Amino acid sequence: MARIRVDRLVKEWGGSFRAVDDISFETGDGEFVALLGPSGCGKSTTLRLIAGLEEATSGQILIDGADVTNVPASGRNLSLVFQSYALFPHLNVADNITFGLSVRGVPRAEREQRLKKTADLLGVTALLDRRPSQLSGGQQQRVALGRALISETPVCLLDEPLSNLDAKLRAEMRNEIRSLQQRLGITMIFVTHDQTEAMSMADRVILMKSGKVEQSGTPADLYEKPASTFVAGFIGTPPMNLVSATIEGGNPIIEDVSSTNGGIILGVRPEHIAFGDRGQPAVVEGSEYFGADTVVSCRIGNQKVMVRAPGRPGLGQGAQVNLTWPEQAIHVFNAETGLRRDIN
Amino acid sequence: MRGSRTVLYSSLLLLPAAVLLWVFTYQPILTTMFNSLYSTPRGRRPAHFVGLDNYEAMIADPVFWKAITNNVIYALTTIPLSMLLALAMALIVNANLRGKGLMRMAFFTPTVLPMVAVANIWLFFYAPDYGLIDKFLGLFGMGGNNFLGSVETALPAIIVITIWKEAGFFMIFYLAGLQQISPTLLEAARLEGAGFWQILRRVILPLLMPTTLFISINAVIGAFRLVDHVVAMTKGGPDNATTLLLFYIYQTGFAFWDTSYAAALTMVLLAILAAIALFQFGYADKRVHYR
Repeated sequence: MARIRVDRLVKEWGGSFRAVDDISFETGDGEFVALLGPSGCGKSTTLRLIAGLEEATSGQILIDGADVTNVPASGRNLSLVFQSYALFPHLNVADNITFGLSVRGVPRAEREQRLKKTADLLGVTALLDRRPSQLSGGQQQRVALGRALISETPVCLLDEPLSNLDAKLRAEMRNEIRSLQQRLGITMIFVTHDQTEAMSMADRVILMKSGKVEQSGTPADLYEKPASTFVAGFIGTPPMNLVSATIEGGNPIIEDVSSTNGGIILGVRPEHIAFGDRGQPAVVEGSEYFGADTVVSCRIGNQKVMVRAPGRPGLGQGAQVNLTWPEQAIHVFNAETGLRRDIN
Repeated sequence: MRGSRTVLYSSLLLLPAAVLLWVFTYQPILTTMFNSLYSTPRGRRPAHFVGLDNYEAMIADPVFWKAITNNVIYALTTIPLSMLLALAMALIVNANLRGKGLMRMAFFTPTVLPMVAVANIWLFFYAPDYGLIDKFLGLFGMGGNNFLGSVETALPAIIVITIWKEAGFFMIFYLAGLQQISPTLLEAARLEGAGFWQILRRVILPLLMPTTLFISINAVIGAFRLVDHVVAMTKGGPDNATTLLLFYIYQTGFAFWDTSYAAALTMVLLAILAAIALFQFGYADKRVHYR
């Protein structure tokens, strides 16, 4: 099994733009890690650096304590599933899956046996004679996974593995990849821009922004203790409400206008807010009905607040409501730096 | 009523293309076939039907067989060598190298030059004593060669020019083909431990097969069609050592004015090209993977 350690890794493009800016993290043995972030945050570049498809400008990558920073991709003992799957269009499924084995000169008998095992594991046995062009997106995804898993490397990297699948298939593959990872006990790092995917699958989420690690921790850490307003606004559907406030006598008072000078940013998750008889007055602006619950958008002064209420609260536009939330649901951030702080 | 109007309308639209095709392609083929069965009209003697006499004369004609042999040697050497060279040049030019723009230009220049101009440049290269190549060999005491003037070296000399000229042209197609290959496929292969030669053999070449088929068809046609350099440099000599089939047809038709024999030779050339095209499209096409 393998641990991956990334130490002060930097990747510059054209000598000026830093796609990956001095990031460090470490994965545990057999851990499932998500590299999460908006597009252009450097998560895919980080993955490609670990895979050895890009050369690091500075910093180190260690796999199981061995420095692989200058080792070519094929010597790092890892596998990668590409976002586009990168299946060879001229080879059938069986040849695609066993490509690496045949390149490395694994004897035919062993190849056949491992192919059978992997194909059974992924349920692609019936497709072995087909060409990639004859497969659906989900089937191609399975074949790409098969090509990665047959090599039995202790580390498997996945670049946006689910982004080309439709919603239903995505949920299915999410469970499947997760259970495969646990069954095989391999270390997986996967890149995604979808926070739901990261939260639901990963043991640990590394949230990146502009080439830097914004926060790294368990999904619960990121949800319950976001380190900055960026994290708070990225995690959760809908994301955390962030409003300008001031502190008076140890209690936050929400201002009518959003501002960044002097005060604080108060964060409360939509699902922690309830409509009550007393509390913060607000005006309803609209609502979105999802079946089990409804997301109601309200306004406090000119600041927008979303409320996730169970069922159908039946509030029309312009309705006057009072919002309440438990004290422990409050998150406080520094208005200038955006970083988390204590209320006092 | 409506139906016949449509037929009339579409026929009129097809007419210009049909007329051009008929006048410049099918009619000449038929006329050639017809002429090959008649004798050549001379002075007061009009052409008369001779059946397969022209074809029988051809079988007995040593120059015809020489031309066929030459053309086969010429095709079997120029086609694979120029394609191999084209692929190598395309791979170099497609790689991320410094000065690849300059290299692209250098490789492509021979293609842009007219064959007659090329032939004149190479006439100088091949000239005995003061020519570039002979002068260079003279430095090592191996001078005094008349490359175009001796039976052994004349055809190889022509072959070298053709390869030099054609490779750059084919390179463009290979380059286009290479640029169609997704870089992630190559990355995937690299990640799986494939080295350069394995990637070339297992990924690049199979994906280039449609390009290769296309180029090979062009190369075959070119090998039977391009005789400008023979006309400009050797006129088929010495002792028919560089006589290619088309050059022989030209000579027979326009130097000896034996038009009916030339027509018969043309039919043979046509049959050869048709057979090759049928093979390429019928057999090779099925084995090529198209994306």
